[in-house]
Amino acid sequence: MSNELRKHAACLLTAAVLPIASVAQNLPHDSMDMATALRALILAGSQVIPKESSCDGYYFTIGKATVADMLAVRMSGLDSGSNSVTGRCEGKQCAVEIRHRGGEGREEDVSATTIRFEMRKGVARASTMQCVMTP
Amino acid sequence: MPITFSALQASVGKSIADLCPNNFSTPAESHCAHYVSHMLDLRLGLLCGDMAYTTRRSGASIRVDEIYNRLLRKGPWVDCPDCSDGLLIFVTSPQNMTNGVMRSAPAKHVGIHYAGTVFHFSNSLHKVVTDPSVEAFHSKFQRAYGRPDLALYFGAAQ
Repeated sequence: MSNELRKHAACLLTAAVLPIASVAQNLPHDSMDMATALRALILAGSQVIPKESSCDGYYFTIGKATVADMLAVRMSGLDSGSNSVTGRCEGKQCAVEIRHRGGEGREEDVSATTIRFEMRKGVARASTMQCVMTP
Repeated sequence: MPITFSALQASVGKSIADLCPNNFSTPAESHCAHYVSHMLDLRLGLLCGDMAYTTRRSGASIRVDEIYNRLLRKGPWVDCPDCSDGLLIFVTSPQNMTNGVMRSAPAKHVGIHYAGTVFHFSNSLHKVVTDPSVEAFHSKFQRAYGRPDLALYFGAAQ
């Protein structure tokens, strides 16, 4: 991934997580869970997604895609419409969902990503990731 | 067996639950690739059956890019051989294509072209719909994605 794309991905990730992290202390328990799941995934950004994983895809790079590549591409459609980024953990098992639906008159613009993973020491393990990703 | 116009017509108005025996019918998902794959029996990449352990490796494809990238005959719509019946018609930004490979980016859609009509799954109506022409399909998704640069691509599944 080029430096420019890395910066773009970093901006997207920062934008996605900052509002959550900044208010996390005042939110109920499930929101802390959400921050935990998102943080674990973001910290795994440089990990390579295994070829056999359902999360593998052609993101910015041909060849070895990283978790950051996947997140950047799947979040790149969240600049308009109705969007949500949610997460949860039960013990070491976590899931993050990225949902998008276009706004008025643009309802056909739909995308959805669910990333399930196991975390170790607060970091997602790419080798355990499973994705439901459409379209 | 090649797809027929009557088979496509019979699918119009159906929900994805009507078409998918594996019950992968979550309304939050985009089912455009899932629909064309059940109609054309495409099994490329991840399948709907892979969403549950008990149905793994059964069913049909669910991702637009995995279908396009694994087809042997494909390219820009303007280059389609004779735009024959049963061709897949993809719509996405040229920015999502690099050297003929489609990226796993969100804004993309696929339908089946037959006799000038495009059959595809509407993710807002949650059922199969038709557009009366390629141009109507194209302009619908230009509006949906809010970008005029969207391009059409073809893929031959059969």
